[in-house]
Amino acid sequence: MPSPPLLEVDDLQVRFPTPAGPIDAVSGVSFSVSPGETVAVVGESGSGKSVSALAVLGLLGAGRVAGGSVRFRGEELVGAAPDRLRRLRGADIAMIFQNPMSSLDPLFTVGDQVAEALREHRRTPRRTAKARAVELLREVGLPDPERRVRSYPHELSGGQQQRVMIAIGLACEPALLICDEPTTALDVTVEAQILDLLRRVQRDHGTALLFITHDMGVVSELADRVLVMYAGRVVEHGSVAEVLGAPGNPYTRALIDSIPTPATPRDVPMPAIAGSVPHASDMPSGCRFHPRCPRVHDRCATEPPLHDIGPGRASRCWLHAAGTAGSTVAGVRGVG
Amino acid sequence: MTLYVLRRLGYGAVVMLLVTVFVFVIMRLVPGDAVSLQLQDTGVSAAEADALRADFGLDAPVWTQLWLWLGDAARGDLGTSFYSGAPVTELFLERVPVTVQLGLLAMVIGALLGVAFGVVAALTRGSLVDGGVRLFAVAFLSVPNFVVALLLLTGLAIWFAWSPPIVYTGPGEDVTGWLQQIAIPVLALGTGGMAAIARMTRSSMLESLGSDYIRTVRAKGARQRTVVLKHALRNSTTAVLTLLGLELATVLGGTVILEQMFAIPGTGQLIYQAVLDRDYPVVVACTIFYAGLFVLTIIVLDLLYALVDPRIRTGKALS
Ligand SMILES: Nc1ncnc2c1ncn2[C@@H]1O[C@H](COP(=O)(O)OP(=O)(O)OP(=O)(O)O)[C@@H](O)[C@H]1O
Ligand SMILES: [Mg+2]
Repeated sequence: MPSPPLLEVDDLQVRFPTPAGPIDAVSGVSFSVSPGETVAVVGESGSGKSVSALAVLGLLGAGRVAGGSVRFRGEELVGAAPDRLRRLRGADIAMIFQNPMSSLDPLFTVGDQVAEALREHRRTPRRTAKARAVELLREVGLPDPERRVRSYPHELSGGQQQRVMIAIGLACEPALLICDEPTTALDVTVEAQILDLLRRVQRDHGTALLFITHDMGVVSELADRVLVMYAGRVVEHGSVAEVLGAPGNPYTRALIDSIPTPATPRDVPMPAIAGSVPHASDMPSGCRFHPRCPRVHDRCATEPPLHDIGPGRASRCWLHAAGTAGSTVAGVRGVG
Repeated sequence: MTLYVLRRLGYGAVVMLLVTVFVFVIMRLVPGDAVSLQLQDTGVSAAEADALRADFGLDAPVWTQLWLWLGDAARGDLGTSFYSGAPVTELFLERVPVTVQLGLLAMVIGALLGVAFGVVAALTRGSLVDGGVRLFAVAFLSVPNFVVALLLLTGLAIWFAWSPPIVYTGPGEDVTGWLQQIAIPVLALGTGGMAAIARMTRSSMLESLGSDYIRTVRAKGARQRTVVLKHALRNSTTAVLTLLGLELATVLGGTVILEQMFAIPGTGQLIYQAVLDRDYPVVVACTIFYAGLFVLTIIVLDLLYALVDPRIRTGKALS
């Protein structure tokens, strides 16, 4: 690592109260993001990607960080004063969300909502903030920004709304932009445009991206490093080229196999992974993936640790332990 | 926008006409008329009574009476009271401000307190304060306003040996006297609305506070004040506005009983007495007033709705 990390998450544990007792949505998650870097977080629905990201910003709502630490530029954020966290949000770490339509306040113009991101952090005269909002909207490629500042969210398309969200995120030039599945709600051509925009933003401003997705295709296009999550745990991490090229973990393998390729026949169902992510209240003992794993064996009854399988690379699977042949699972296909 | 208002006013006029005709006819179907009630036990002969009826125009068939009355009303003449002989319009205009003051104060106080309590309850969700607000809200919702008034009256009399002045003085003559007199009725009228609005505000604030757009506002690093008062509260107002319309009906109905109880000379008292006396012209005029007030309020609320929510403004609703 050339530069010290911007964000360091270490052994994070997030607990939610539920009527049936507290559940740990995320446990023992560690990762880091360096300045200007793009780290992708992948995993099926319910694996704890959003919860991990929201924990960084202190936006868990009913949940709380029950253990571990989150450091931003070396400063501990777990247990930091609420006002300190507030000042950090938007200004240093911004976040955009999956559903742009519901993520914008329907009662205010988009210009208002962009300008607000500035005015909540800096004493900015209303006129200046407004002018800057127009500039930001132009930068994110909203057509006719002078007129569009006065539009309400419902007057924009989904892609335009997400551009507005990005403009809000960029308002204070944050060092880190967290994107929680920013293109899941958009159609494919719009998705490509938004990804282009994010790439350009990153190049122009040197913003680090923490990019949550469950689309392996997006990972390979956008990210430097990737973190694979399953059922509240990190199961594999490493550089994108290595992880996608030679996945160490059977779960990563299965995720990669479920990417449709142009050769995938249209009428055959996607080779999705059989079964579903277990809920935190009903965690299988041992390896959390073992009920669905094609390479399940005796040792999976106890949970494997993250094995280092290369520089900056680790995988949580007994297959890497000494005595087990082969450190990658290249031959394994997902079951469909 | 203007077209919309005009159209709503047109609908309103039709509603008022229908209500008027309905009350006009119903009143005449109720047994007993003004003449027989007035002349009870006076020993006046049937022939004389009939002559009086003819004088009031009560001998003609109902539809003829209605037709004649509508003709007069179109010229701005709402008739004269069978009792005092004074023109109804005059009688009426004297009393309208009293009821409007009473009702408006009750609605405004109820709305402000209701919203305040609702916001506090939502922000302290699950706490003792929240529980208290919810308990009182249910209590006030289930107790009729005249009972609240009686309880207040009795409580103040027993514990503080205080009771409101008996003789009504307008706010122009004696403000403190007026305030003392209307305090209990205003509170009694307002509490029901306050309770309903507090509950509604609480639940829509909670919904709003858990929404995606509030998460965005928080992710911007907005101050708590901005989150709560600008975004969450504003998004809760549409629900509250809807309630205010319903509240008006309760408040106006309440004035009829409470004005009677507290000797407040407003339209509520007027209509109450007029119904007992079968003073048809007065009853009909009061009905028009209440219906008109209601129609106007609904239009104003609709406009406020559009003012708050751009989705309604740009939608088809107002074209
Ligand atoms: N407010 C909450 N209360 C209780 N449990 C929660 C809450 N939020 C999240 N969880 C639990 O945390 C787990 C992880 O949720 P999370 O939203 O992080 O998944 P995700 O990986 O982002 O999935 P998706 O791809 O669907 O966004 C889920 O099993 C969910 O049940
Ligand atoms: Mg998510």
